[in-house]
Amino acid sequence: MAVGILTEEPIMTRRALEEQFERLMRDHGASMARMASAYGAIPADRDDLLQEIAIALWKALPSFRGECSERTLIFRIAHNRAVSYLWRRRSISGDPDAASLVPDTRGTPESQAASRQLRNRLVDAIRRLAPAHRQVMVLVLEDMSHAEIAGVLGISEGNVAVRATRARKELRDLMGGLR
Amino acid sequence: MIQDDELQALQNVWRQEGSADTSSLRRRVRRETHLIWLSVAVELLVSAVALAGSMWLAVSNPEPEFVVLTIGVWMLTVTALIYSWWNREGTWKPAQEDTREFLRLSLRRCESGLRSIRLALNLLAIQTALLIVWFAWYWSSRTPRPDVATWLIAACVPGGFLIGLLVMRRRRLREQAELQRMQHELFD
Repeated sequence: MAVGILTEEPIMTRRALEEQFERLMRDHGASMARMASAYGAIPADRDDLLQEIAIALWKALPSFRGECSERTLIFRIAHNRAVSYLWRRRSISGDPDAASLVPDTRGTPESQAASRQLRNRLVDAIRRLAPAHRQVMVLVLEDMSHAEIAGVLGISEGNVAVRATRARKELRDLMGGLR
Repeated sequence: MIQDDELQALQNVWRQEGSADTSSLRRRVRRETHLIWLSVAVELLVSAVALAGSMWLAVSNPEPEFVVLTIGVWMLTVTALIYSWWNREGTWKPAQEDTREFLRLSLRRCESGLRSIRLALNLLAIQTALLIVWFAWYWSSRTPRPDVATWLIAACVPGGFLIGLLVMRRRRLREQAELQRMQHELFD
């Protein structure tokens, strides 16, 4: 079993690493893509961020010794890449909200099915959340427990609960405002 | 519970989409890994050429000027190589830390980058001063001496490095400010 190989053997063969990477991408690729969509408003940005996450995961795997679950590892890596994406974007553009204010260019609401429209509105609203709330909300939507979120972000469970409540309120307001 | 129903509904909407082309990502990861190895190979090749070339120069022209020049090239190349490897060490490790630790490490790395740029500026100043002395020494006993235009062209090299380093420093300072702001936004 690949997990067993990861935790029991100190050195993985390249083949085992590739298999592990493929499996993780297969199992969690969709979550990573959704997370990238919460930070990059245009497809090219999302693709770049997703690629950065995949590369960081590939580089992290050889030294992963099962200190946390694979899911936590992946979300930590994904969030860290997203955070560095945000600060690099800000330091280049000088605009603190550049990442969240870029309009969604995936087509007009008229051209989308109703469910697609609703999701676009949700993603758009998430991008408008403050970074601290956005991080927590994305993980909540991925069905992570407060303990898991605390492990990803490095904050207490109590803090996660407070942020989640505020994020949901902010999201509700934003979604309401978008109607 | 209304809140949970609302969350469930949001989760359902959130998960409607999201797919990653894993084969394309795998290809890109492979390409990126190759590029990193290529950059290491180029760095080693350039260093080897500089070391071998200067050694060949000193052996084929065993005059004090060339021996001193070779020693200088070796010292600077070895210093740059050691620093480059030290700097690369653990570059990706912070990716596995939690976000709070990741930001802390990124800030520390940014500060270390700024220190490196300061070191590079100092090395550039020393190297330029040594080269000026060396050129003056070398040309004092030779004719024809280079004209002003040649000196000006030669001055473009350290000038280019200086501009590059100052641009890097400015970018790093901006990054540092953004990191501090991000840390404040996320964890204060």
